[in-house]
Amino acid sequence: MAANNSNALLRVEDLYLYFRATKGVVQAVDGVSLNLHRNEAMVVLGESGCGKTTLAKAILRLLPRNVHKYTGKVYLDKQNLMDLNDEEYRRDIRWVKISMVPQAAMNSLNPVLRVGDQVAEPLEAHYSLKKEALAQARDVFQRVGVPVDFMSRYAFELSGGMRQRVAIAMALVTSPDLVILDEPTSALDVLTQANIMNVLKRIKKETETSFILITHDISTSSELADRVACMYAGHIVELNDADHFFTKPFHPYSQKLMASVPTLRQTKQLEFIPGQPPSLVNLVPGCRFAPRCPSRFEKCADDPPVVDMGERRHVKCWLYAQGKEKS
Amino acid sequence: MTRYLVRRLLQTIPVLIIISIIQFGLINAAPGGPLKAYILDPNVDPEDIKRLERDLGLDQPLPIQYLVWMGNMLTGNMGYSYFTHRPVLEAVLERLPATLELGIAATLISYIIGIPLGVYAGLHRGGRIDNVIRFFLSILNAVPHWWLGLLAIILLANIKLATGVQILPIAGMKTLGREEFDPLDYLWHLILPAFMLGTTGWVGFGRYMRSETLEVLGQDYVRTAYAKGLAQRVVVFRHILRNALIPVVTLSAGLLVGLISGAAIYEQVFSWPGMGRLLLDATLKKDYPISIGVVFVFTILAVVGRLIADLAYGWVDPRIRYD
Repeated sequence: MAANNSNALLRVEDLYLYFRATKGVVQAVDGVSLNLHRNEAMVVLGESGCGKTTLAKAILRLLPRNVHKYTGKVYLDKQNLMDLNDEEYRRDIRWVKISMVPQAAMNSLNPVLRVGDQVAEPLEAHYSLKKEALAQARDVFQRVGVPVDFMSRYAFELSGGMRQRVAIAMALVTSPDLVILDEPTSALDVLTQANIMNVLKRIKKETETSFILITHDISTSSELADRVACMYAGHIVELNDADHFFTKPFHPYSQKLMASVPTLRQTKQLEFIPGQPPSLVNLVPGCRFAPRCPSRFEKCADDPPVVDMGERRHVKCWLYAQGKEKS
Repeated sequence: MTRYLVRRLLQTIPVLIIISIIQFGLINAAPGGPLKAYILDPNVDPEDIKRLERDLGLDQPLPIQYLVWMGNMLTGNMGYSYFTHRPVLEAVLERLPATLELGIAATLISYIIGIPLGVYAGLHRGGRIDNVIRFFLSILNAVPHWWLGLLAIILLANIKLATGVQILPIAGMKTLGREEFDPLDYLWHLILPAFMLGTTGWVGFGRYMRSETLEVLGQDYVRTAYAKGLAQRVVVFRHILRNALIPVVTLSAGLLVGLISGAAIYEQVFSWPGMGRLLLDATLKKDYPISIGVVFVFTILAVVGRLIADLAYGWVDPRIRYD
């Protein structure tokens, strides 16, 4: 597997992020592994509360105060980010190599600073640029389709779609290797969603940047996705390329998820998955999806292995383990 | 902006009229009067009292007295003290600088101590220093501050008695008998009263800034600022402080009014020759013109203070528009 990783940009191995909470330890990211190539876009899918956003925070080391366990390896360009101390991480990684478009772009802009200054700010902080910073900010405003004279406006003077574009501009201004987008299109109307996705597609074509797109919106994300990581209760249950995932997913959860997506002009019965995803506190051993899984069997009481399906595809399910165990 | 200013300044006119009516009514509603002390005095002829009452206009009904006073006001004549016969305006303006000096110094101390204290505590929530700061702020908030002033005087006086060392002067604006202007001497005398008067301010600001800092720390844009890899200093000053200060600026208007009215007590405690003491003396002596004059000037100061705070509000928060 290491052989076809020559083009790899990001490699996450056994990443854990647990929190202490009043009820116990929340196992939000529980041994996640994934890899991403340059100029690839990976969509992280999953229901609310399955640990998608926490995975992004774990990669960016944006940790809350109540961290219980934070271990694993995060390689970016063969450099293990977990070896860096906080100050090195802040100086060399944040927004230099990895930037993010936070969830709810409405609130992620400072209300009392002009948006142009906020977009230019990372350049000033990391490259000590002043005038050039604003020039580059102007350039990136144009690339994401925000009128340049909006730079002197405040966040409250912009519409939701414009703020989202500003947040994307902010993430792109330093030309990072990886941009993590956390629900970039939720809370926007469909036309604006399509617009934003087009902007992202164009930028992906124009630059070498890789994207991790965290969302529960399957249909919108399919526009951009090269690869899909499907998360359930803190685990990545399936890693697949987008073509296969959207047509023939492996994992029973992925299959159920795809069956719940409405399709135009097709009167199919929309499925839903009975039951609730488990709480991430004090999980029992075994497959976490088993209680809701239509194809569960005795083996599911044990933690399922990650099965290599070839072509960088992996599934964490006993159903696929049988034949593979021999090979 | 100009229209807003003009409108705000015009609004002060009814405020001043209403305040003057209330003050006029209140002071006359209090028992006694400037001449009542003489009624029981066997050496004073009742005829003389009658004549004095006529001279001072006190024989007229209250509304007439008020209108006469108002008429004089409009021509710039605030009347004369019943006892010293000095023009009210002169007596009040003579005391104004002392009050302003104390009030401005107390305001500055409120900001300089309160804001860093609150921000530091908020940024280090749950730490030992935060607990210490919170403990003392809560205690100071619960105690009447003029009483703390008295305690400070007793403490300093006893230290002086025991060791002969005068750490800080406990009364007055300058060393008695010193005629020439000595800024250091003034500053030295200012420290204790300004610090004690400012206690209301910095204790309040400290508590307020702490909770505002916590509030802002939880905002998404602060997380974004950290994610951008900005240095802690930049995040604190540009992103946290700017936003946490907005409610504090609103609070400043109240602080100024509080400091002005608090000055009356503190000026008494620290023998500070300001308007507050003048007001207290005049009210106890029933020197109506002085009393009303001081309240009038206090009202103008309070209105101007609120106006400045409102303008500053628009300066720190771009979402505020004046039109």
